[in-house]
Amino acid sequence: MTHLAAGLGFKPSHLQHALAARQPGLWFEVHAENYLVDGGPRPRLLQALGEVHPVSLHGVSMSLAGAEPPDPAHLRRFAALVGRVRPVRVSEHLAWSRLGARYEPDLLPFVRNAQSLRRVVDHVQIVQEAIGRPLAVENPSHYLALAGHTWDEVDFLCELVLRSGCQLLVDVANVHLSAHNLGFAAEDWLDRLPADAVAEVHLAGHSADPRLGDALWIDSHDAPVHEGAWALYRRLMERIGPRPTLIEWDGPLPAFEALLAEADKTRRILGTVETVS
Amino acid sequence: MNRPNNFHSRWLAAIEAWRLGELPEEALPEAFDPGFAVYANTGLQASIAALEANFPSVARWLGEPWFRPLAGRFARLRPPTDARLMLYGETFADFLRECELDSDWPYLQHLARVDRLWTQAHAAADAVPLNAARWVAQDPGTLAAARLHLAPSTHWHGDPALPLWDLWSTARAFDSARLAVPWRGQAVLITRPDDEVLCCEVDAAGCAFLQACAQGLPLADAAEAALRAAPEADLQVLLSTLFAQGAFAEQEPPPFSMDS
Repeated sequence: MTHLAAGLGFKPSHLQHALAARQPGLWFEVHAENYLVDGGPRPRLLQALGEVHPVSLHGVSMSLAGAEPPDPAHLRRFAALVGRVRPVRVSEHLAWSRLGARYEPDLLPFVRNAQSLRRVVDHVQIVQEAIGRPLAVENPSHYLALAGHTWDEVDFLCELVLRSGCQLLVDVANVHLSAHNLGFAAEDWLDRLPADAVAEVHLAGHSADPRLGDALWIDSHDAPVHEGAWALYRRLMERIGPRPTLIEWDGPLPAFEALLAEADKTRRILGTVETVS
Repeated sequence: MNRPNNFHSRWLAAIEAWRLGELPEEALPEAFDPGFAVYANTGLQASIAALEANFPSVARWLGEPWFRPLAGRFARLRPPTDARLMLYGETFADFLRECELDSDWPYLQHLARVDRLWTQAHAAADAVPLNAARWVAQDPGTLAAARLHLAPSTHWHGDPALPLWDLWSTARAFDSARLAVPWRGQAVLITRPDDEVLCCEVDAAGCAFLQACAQGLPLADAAEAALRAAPEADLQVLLSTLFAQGAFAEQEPPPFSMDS
């Protein structure tokens, strides 16, 4: 079994650095949508990366919490990519981004109730059937409190795991940011997660809203991981044990060495946890 | 109780209204929350960024202060329908033609069309380029009836009144010294024999030849079409250029789909 420690979001501009990197347990996550093409350099780039490092496929547009089942054409392409790449993990978001023919490139919130739970379970199962393996479902960042929830987010995720057989991708930075924006205790949120369900963790930096300042944090993926998120991460790892952990950084993209430094920090924490557990 | 369709459609309607600065009183209550701006902005900015990446010659020609509002207007009117944002903007050239900019910059829509073809070539199915030496070595008796199959990545676009190759390559390369004076009709040929997309100028004879090949006509008919378009054309030079650019494939490729 491949040992996965700290991973990085793959950027084509870092290809040569990525291919040369030899940190123990290093792996890369790619956004599936960027590789859903008939041919050309992108699939070959992905193949080259996969020959050197474990690759995880991360979707951002399956619209699991959408009003309709996943778009069949998109799902077909997605499943074909999973078949070709044979990734170590396949993940998506607990959010929606599609209604009819309209695609909104964002991870939109929804009201958590019995009806939406049934719908998300159905959609996750459709995807899992298409790709022939469990999906890891990620908690998104939140910027406002929606009215009408009858399910708490952690309970919703746990029930989703139970009913669909999916795994969880826990974005600790999203929990940190959402707790700040919505005013809940991030520690409580994370403490309630069942250890067995957590397959992977994400970490990223955030920024303050340009208009509202620190009153609203934005999941911008353009800064080092916040100390508060590191503390939550350490706490979670100490409780559940080490999990493959991805550093997300989308832009402005720093030098590869800066990303490796974040990955090294992650690996050190994972190493400590491994020693303790 | 929130019915799913009701909630989802009301959310999108609120996003559209927010972007126009016209949130109605009956909009979703959450749309008046400061956090809603993040959702309303993120998708729009992602769409604009995609257009900027997918249409670099238009973006550079106009400059950011002009391009981004234009792209924002397009994104509001024709939001993405495909999650693959690298393909977003299928109708961007038509939009440029329809909007009033066309009277000032009639070539803008053509720059967008060539940018779009570049993207299609970049993402097209792979094909083994036809080996020129082997192809011309076949029995001269059969050559005239032989058909040349275009590679899936082979595209071309031109306008008889515009120096499109000069305009487009100038915009892509930030090189105003390459602008042709006086203007003459030009087309752009785009191919991708391997990983890299290749671009070059192609004349009227070349366009006619490629069009005939695309229609499945044999070499003799394609050559005749080329000479009809430009009687002075040197077919040997033309064929040599097309082979060198990797315009032809060993086998007839499947239709362009981007739906693998």
